[in-house]
Amino acid sequence: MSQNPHLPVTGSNQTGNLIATGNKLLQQAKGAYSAKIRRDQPTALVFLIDQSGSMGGGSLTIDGKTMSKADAAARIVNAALRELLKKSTKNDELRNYIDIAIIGYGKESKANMAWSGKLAGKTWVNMAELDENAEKTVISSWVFFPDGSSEEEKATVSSWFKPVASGLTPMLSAIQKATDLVREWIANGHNSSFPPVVINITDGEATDAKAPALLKAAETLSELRTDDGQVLFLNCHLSETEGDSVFFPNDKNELPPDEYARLLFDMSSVMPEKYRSEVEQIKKAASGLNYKGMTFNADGTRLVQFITVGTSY
Amino acid sequence: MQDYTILWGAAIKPGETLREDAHRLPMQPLGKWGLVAVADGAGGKGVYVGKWAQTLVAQLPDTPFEDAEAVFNWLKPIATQFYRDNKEDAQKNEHTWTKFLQEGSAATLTALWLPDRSDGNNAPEQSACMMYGDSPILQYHTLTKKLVMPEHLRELSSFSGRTSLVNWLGSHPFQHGYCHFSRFDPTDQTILLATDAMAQMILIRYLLHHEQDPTCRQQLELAKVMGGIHAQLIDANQKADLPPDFDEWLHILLHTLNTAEPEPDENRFGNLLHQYYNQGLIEEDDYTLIAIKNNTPTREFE
Repeated sequence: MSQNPHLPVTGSNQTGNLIATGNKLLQQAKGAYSAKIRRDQPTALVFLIDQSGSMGGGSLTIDGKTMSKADAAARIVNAALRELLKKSTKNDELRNYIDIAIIGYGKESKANMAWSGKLAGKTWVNMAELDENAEKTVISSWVFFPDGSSEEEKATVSSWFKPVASGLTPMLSAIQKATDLVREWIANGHNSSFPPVVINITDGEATDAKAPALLKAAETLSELRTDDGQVLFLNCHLSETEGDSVFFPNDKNELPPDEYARLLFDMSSVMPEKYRSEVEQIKKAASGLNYKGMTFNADGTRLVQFITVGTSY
Repeated sequence: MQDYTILWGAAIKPGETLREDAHRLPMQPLGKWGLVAVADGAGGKGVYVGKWAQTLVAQLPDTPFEDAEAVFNWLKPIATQFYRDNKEDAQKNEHTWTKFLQEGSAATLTALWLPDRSDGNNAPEQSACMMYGDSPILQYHTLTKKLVMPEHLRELSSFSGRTSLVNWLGSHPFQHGYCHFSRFDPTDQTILLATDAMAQMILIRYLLHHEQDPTCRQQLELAKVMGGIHAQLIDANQKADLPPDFDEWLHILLHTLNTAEPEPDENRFGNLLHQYYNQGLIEEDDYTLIAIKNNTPTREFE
């Protein structure tokens, strides 16, 4: 049998490089990740949004726009939710393919659900509820045709979250809360579902725990699983440290020398094999290595897009 | 079309009511060419994908495309018209409209023009095919018992990852390089046009029967190492109570196909495919299969 070219091989240069740079050998999350996402078999997505005072700083440039970390976090969550609504639309019908929970951490000493308005007090929100409670803005949109002509149309853009930046950063509390929610969700009749995905949007400066405790909490969360695979814990790091945007690093040296970035790298799940081609398209590279589910100063909606593009509904 | 026997079968994804595949059989009478086509509306990309697939197969020309530029020129007016025809309906629902504007409608497209040499027609010797996306034309050679896959979908792993799709929306542009053409002599073979899930099951059954062949074994082993859906399908097919002989199994499958339109009351093909799905032997999807058998006397195998 020929050697599988995609997996690092013990003793190869690839493995040596990982060890030399201080990384552990990247072990992929275990599972087939092939369960269909259906109305009777939805998946779950949990956002952890850092709303601490430090998120008010920064001057990030994402997709050509300059913004604070808190602005970037709200922008990423709103864009991700719009993407999920779009994905859940089948012709003239909005289908409940995904249960969504959003945990905010910052305003208080412990993390709490971050839904507001009519959704305040809710834990899981389905697509229909999400749609009903959006703030809607009408914008112009151009439609281009293969013959080169175009038409201007009006389209509606939904949003749910505004930037928040105050208080401390109880990230450990947020991860533990997500772990409890996901554990309960899986036990509540979702054992055969596509595994839940947890996305943490943060500047990484936790105030309620040191690195070992955060790593342990991330490990506990990532060890939860459905029959289809382990929970994926992905991190979207927004930092004031200078450096280019990084998507799905396979080595810590892809990141700037920022201790928080490197901690989040260690905390993030390794992307399953089935998303390799999607990841490599985003990275515009094909190294054949395994990739961490992490972005640095980048449009974190990419972390959601891989679920919507690479997963069958 | 006396040269050929054309059989077809179609099944909607288990649990769904709207078909996202489309197919076309030759009209009677025909001239030099008989056109057979399938299109697979991509459920994951855009809206009205079944309608788009139907539009594409319905508007295919009676004679083969010369090249990718000819396909692109054929697509242009169809794309704009499809947008105009469906705009009003899409606008009735905010999310449908948003998705229509941002993602358009996407489908694979596979067409086969068969030379009709019956009744003294002065038709070409070779059939012509065009494929855009992962609905392949498979050639099963009746004398050698070899299954030939198209160049761009040569192996099971070729079906992993994103496929190329034809879209009416210009921001998801037509890629000339994704348009695959070939010509072949249609004699001594059963030609199969299949949408992706059906094609993958046919290929898996073939690989399992020919597991002793190193290239077949390598494909199976690679799929197992990679894990995921292919590994699951291979495992289920290995354990399934189906004839291990590919020829025998294919005969059973083709026996469920219909000889003519319209669709009969009992969808034997659909029932069989849904049984396969329930046994984990085939991926959840719409299933479409067209089989073409050449009726000219079989030539001696050299």
